[in-house]
Amino acid sequence: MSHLPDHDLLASLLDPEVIYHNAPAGYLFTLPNGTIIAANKTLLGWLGYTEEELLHHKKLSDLLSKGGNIHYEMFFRPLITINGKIKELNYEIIRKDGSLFPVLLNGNGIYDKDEKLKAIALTITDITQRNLYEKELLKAKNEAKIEKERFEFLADSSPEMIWTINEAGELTYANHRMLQFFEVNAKELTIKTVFQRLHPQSRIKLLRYWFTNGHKGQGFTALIRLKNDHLIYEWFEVKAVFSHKDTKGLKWFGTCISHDEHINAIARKDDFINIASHELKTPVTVLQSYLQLIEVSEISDTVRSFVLKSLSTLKNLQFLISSLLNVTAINSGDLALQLSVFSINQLLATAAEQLQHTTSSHRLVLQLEKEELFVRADKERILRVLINLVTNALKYSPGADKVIIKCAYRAVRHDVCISICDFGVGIGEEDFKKIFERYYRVELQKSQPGLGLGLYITQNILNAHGSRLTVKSEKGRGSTFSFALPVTGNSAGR
Amino acid sequence: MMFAHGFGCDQQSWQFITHAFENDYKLILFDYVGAGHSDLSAFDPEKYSSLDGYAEDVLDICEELDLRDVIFVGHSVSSMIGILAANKHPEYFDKLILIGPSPRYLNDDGYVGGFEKKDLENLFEFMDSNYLGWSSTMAPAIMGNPSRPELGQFLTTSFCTTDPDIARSFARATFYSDNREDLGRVSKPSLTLQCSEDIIAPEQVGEFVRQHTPGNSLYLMEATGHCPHISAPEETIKAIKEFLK
Repeated sequence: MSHLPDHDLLASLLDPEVIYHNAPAGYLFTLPNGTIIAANKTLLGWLGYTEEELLHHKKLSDLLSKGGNIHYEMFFRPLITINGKIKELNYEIIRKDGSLFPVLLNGNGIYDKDEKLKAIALTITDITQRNLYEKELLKAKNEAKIEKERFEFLADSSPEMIWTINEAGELTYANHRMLQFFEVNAKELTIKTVFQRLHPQSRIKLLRYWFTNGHKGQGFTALIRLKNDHLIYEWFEVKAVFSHKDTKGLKWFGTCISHDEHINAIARKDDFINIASHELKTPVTVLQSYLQLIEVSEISDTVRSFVLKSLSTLKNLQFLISSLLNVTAINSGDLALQLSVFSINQLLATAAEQLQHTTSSHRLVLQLEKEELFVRADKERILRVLINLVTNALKYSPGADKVIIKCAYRAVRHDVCISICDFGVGIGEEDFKKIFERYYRVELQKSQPGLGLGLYITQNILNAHGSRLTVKSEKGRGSTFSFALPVTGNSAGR
Repeated sequence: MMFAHGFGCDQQSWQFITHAFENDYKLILFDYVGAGHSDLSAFDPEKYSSLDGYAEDVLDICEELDLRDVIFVGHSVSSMIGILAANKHPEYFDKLILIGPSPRYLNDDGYVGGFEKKDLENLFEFMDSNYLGWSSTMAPAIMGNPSRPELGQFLTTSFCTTDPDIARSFARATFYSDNREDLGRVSKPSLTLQCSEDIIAPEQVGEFVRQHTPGNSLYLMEATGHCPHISAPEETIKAIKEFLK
């Protein structure tokens, strides 16, 4: 066996005539006006024409559809005349039987010695398969464009601001509303423009979220303030989703919704409460004085019982008013504590006794340490905390028959942990965070009277003491609210 | 003399004939928005959805350069753009030279434009498929041509750096236009250069233009195809010079 090339075989393969006629591509020669003057056998086979039918009788344009012909006149001919060549032009060729097949045309101009075009040499490649693939590509490209338009239509119709940010931290998309808010066109809007309108505190807040959550690959929600076109700060809620997908250019996708209404509504409620509570306080005090005077006067027992009921009702009213005053103090940040040292055992006993009078359905079970424990705190306000928590416990356990008030000394921390345990409806996870917000009320209780301020006040009083209200709850089993206060000294009787 | 290129071309398509006029005239060549080296960002789909938008640009050039007595040479669709411009502001113009004009490409009742709607859709398909090679990364490629270096600046698949979307929009504005009414309002002398075997602007269309345009004379060329200024520059120069005499 020889590894040397077979000379006879090579010679037969390299025969120009054989190459020309049997090449796996069509060869075609035309005059400058398109008249076909030569075609190889491959092409004749594809077309179904004989040489006699084709040569000198047909022009290249006769092989093209009408649309192809326009393209031929507008692109092919000027190009070949000016450039001397054409490359990869895509046409459909008509066979003798009228059927079509897609081809790629490559061609060179052939010039005489005066550089005048005398003929055009063309190769024709059948690209039926490739053409299908290209059609798919074109289809996909158009679909992508439609999808993009649809997204933009939806985004632009939204009253919220919608944006995307890429890995480099550049704003890559902003919807119509956002451009409107920042009063710029799409090209002008950059992160810098946005940051210039951000309140300095919001700027810090956003940057912190940005870096820490970006690092962890987590989205975030943040309340921020943005200057509107009247240069007044408005509240907005930014929601950002972090994209883990390898989508080119997209790292963050988010919205920005006006929260001004919500924040302003809370501020308006605060204002109202502030004014109303101060206005209510004086007449209630006057009323109380007169009722007390009547009580000590000479009156019949029947009238006295009415007066006592009035006084008791008035006390409830005063409690409510002082709640509102507490809220006002909390909101303005001046919840001043009246600190004193007192026995927590006694306070709990007093509270339990008082509260037992308000319920006939529940037994208040007091579990105290044997040892008397003293704390340094605002006695009136801790009493208020206990009243709030026990009242809640009673309210949210309509089917139960007891509430446990427990007080335990914890040697390690040298504090006393007070917990109020009920066996009622419990709190769903979705409400856990919100129950401490002012004006928030659990859905179940919305039909009952109340302002939704109890836990808000309680939490803030405890915070002012350096303590914190914690909750453990299971839906349908009940809740336990606890807080701790440091014990002063280390023994009883001080 | 102002030379306005046709669809699919840019101002370089005039290079074979301009030398014949440069001694006697001040020549103005330009690229329409979307063609050649024009600023693509100036493209406004609304404005350029009809030929009026392009005619406005021609008038803007006249105003900016403070032109008078312009001899407007328009190829293909630019013939109609020139007519629209000259009808609107005749004071800028002296004569119009229309190379392969067609006031309407689509056939209509009693009118032969040469095309059915499906033919044009077919063309747009070809344009799309021939733009597959166009990509956002493709710089305006400069093709060298050692044997004919003076022609080196053309691309192989298209003359222009045209964005496919803009080209499609220009194609629609061109091929769906109907300017037959505008022919009758022409107040300047004009010349129609009609090629033989021009499938884009067939002879009947050239004849229609002559009949309906006051002051128009028709010159039937030996040159074939749609771009005589490229394929037969000598004959084109001769015809224009005769008209300008």
